[in-house]
Amino acid sequence: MTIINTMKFENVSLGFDGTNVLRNCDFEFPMDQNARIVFSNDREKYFFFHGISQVQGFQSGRFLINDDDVSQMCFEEFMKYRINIGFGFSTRGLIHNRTLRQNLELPLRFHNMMQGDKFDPWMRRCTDYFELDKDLDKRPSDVSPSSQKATLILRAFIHKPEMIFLDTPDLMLSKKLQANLLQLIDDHRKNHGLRHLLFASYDEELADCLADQNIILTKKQLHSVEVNKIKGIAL
Amino acid sequence: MIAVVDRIGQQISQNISYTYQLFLLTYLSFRSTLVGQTQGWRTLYGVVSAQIYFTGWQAMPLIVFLAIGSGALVALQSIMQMTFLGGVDYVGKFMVMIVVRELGPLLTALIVIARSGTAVASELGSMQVNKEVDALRSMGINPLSFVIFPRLLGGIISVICLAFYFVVFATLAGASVCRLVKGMPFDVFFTSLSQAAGLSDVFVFIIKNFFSGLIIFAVCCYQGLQVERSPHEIPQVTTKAVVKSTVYVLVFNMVLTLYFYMDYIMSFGIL
Repeated sequence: MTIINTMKFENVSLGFDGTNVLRNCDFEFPMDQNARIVFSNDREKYFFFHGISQVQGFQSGRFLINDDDVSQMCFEEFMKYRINIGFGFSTRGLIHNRTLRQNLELPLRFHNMMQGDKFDPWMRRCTDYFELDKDLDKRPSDVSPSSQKATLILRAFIHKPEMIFLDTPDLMLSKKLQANLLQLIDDHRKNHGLRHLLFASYDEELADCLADQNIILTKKQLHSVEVNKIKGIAL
Repeated sequence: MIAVVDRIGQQISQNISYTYQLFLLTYLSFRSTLVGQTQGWRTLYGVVSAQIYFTGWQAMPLIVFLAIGSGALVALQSIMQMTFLGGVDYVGKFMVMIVVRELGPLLTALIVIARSGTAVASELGSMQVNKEVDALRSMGINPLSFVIFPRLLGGIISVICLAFYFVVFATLAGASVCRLVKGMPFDVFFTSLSQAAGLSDVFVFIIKNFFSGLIIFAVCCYQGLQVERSPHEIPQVTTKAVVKSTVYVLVFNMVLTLYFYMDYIMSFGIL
């Protein structure tokens, strides 16, 4: 696992179906902060998150993490960074033939990140935030959209990464669970090594509570803007 | 005329490119499992054994039923014809030629395509639609080693085992028919069978079924991964998977039969 200190775009272009999201974009991402991505279009946001998490590639340019051009790396080469990044999908992305518990355990077991006796306490600690206990041994199709979303969010946190991307974490979560999400982020920042958070949200209240900076897409370029945080979500 | 030649050329180049993609998928899945894997064999073992359970174990009743039916029919037809020609002892040889060399591997492959090939193609297609493959990638889990390799390995093992069971049950059915219809003692039947079968048959049997399994699951996995966004693509890729894997398996079986048994066929003055 390699510590992530810097992340920047150099001349990056990103597009889908002939539409450009970014064109020759240079941008240095704010580190050690909660940054909110503000895109006008949902698909642009989707492709942006898939690009920076290296699930899909960019069209051109250099995507630098710690000055390493990760856009040129193969799957195995990028692994040193990937296991230090968590990505919470907006919707979909749960493995449907596995239970929620197995979905959460998968990255830990696959990368041999945790010993067997530490699994249950850690899982309980994480799932308590979203009251997932009753649903843990059910498959995604058997639980509510809210539980599915909570699992998607938790799966990004479960291996204690340094950097997390959350695509619309407010989606399908009640105000109470959104408040719990803020606590989860806070807990991971204080106790589990979380340093950098990039998220997108349509919920202004959650965004105001969470964001230190807004990253705004205008004219195919990214710009960062400082914002004032508010204290918490009104329940 | 030129348009026809163009079309044929286009078809050939498309098939060559498709075959290359299959080779690449197979190579990369083996490479990512053997070279780049981080998960250890335990995680992989679970997925492979699940694949063997679904493809091999659950298909057993159907394979046994088909094997008994086709073994009995081949024996019955051979014994009828051989009675007229006075060569009842050759029934065992016919069983080896038709059931062990051809019918066993081919029927097993067709059953596996129909049962498991379609399941794999549609499962991978829905995994693509649900973004499960992307999710695996984002968790640092290479889909080639976690999704594709276990299906290839499980498929190969299952096809070899199913074909073996097919041959065993077809032979037993053939022996029973010979006993019931002609009163042929079991030992005569099995002596004739063992005289007809050689080491090369065992070798060809393993090669045929190994590659049939590989072809079926490589084609079906590849087609499943071709789904991009919409669920309506899933039945389309599933149909393509069935058609393509059937064609590839048939062509492969034919080529292998011609290669290994050319001298034997020529000795009959057929070619």
